[in-house]
Amino acid sequence: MQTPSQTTSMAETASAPTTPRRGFVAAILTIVVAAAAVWAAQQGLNSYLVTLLALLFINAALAVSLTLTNGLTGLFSLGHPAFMTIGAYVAAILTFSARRKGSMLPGLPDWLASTELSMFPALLIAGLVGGLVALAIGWAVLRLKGHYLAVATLGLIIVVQGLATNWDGITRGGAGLSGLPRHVNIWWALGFLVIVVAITWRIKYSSLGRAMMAVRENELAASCSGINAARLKILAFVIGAVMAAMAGALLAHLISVVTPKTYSVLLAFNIVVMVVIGGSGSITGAIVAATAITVLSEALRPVEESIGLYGMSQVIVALCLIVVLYLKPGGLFGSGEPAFVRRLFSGRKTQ
Amino acid sequence: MLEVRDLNVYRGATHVLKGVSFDVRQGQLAALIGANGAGKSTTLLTLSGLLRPRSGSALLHIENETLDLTRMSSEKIVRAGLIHCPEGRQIFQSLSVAENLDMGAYTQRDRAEVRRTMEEVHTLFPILAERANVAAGSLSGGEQMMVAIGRALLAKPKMLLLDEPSLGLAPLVVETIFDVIQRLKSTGVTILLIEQNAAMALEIADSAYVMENGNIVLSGTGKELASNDRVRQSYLGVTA
Repeated sequence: MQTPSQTTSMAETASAPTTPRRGFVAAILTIVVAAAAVWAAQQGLNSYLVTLLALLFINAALAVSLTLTNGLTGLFSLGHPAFMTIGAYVAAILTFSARRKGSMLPGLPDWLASTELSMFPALLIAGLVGGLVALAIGWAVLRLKGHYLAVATLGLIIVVQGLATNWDGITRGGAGLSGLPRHVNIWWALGFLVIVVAITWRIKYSSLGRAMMAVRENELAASCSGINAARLKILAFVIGAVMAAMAGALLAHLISVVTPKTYSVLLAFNIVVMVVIGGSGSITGAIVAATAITVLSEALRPVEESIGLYGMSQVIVALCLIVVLYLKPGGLFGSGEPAFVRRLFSGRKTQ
Repeated sequence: MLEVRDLNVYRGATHVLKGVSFDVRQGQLAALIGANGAGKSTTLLTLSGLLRPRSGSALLHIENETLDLTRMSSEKIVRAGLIHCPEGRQIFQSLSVAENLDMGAYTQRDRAEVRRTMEEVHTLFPILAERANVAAGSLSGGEQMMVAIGRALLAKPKMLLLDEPSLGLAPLVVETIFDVIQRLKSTGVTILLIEQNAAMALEIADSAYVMENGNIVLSGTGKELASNDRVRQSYLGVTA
């Protein structure tokens, strides 16, 4: 499973003492630069491109969160869209205007039908519900490994979609919930990306992250070192699910609609492709790959339409995947971060 | 130090350990020998909490405390000081040597103490200091075994379970490893050693047990067993 190129970059990832201050300053500066860029984009670009940028940020956050579950801990989960759907519906039901909710969603209990929350509390509750579902599911599903886990989480997407389609009184069935308040703009997306990256980075370079990698590498040996592998896997699965649920909620309020089909199996593969192209376990890789794939599929859409070859962008993304894996089997950055990124943000010298 | 009584362990439907009982005294090196499939590794996995017995007990006496290993999680057992160095080295392939060793200290909170133990491990195996930043998977088999033992030592074992440390290693390396095992014993670590290389194991063992089909069939001091006819024929390759 490990290739030589990945092996060396992994070996470099840690084992130096931390001097957090410089990394902290660098992180703050990066955020300021990103914020300035977003502000400039808002001034200079049309609203379609700004929304696309927000979509890109959320996709990057999704890829980073999956890198924690799939890359660091080695759980081959395809379940992200399931948690996104859960998060999106939970948040949507909470933010929907109380005047219309009663008639549109007759299945809601009165207290819920009369609640109308703003985005922030709705987002937190969406994450919480996603996390609780992941906790219950993970407890059962994480006994499975490798392909079996992938298939089980794939099944989870279908189950959640089925629920959303058929639980009419709560979800409005296949029609979905449209006309959601457009609470989310690009600043929400940027903030979310920053928080997800910060949390994932902190976990990766802590003893928790190292323990996750140990479980990925060799579960038996990890247990022999006193790591509770089962608990750690559930933790990684739940953290990934909380982030996915929040991303789902944000996306729904960005495009102001959520249907049972919004977050599909196809999306599961797209996020996994982002993680694999970037190098599983690499935060930088996840961001770069998410950016590339989002921009590529969006840029190819008009081409598709003009020549009438729908689905062509998927073929091109698949070709990119094959080319990257042929040239760099461990993904663009292996499991580590490129040297300059590591130097910049962790304030330590590369070894 | 360790009192194993009437352990019955099943793996799936197979009855692997059929009422295994034995003792390991404080500070001693006990060897468990036997053919493939006799249940040696299963015994160790049960002691370190990775398998649950259907019945029986395994009492560990540590510092006036008595713990029943069959009721503890593997995590707690490691914290109690019983460290299992599993069969086939089982290192973290793509982590560096230093990271592998650090993982051994996962349960240790005293950083100064961890650093001291790390130095001890580096004195024991100088090559591990040289290769600190190399991916452990690229090391030779013998070096990987050193990583595995070093990692176990960083967990500060009071008792060490070693599963086939000589497996697949060159004779010269096996000698190095056995030297280290004896040195560890002299520092007061109690050791339970599983070996197919019965000759070498019996040579250094204070007490030894022979396992066949999930039962302990013979026991005695290392010397006694080494001169036992049955052992000589079955495990030492001496024809009568």
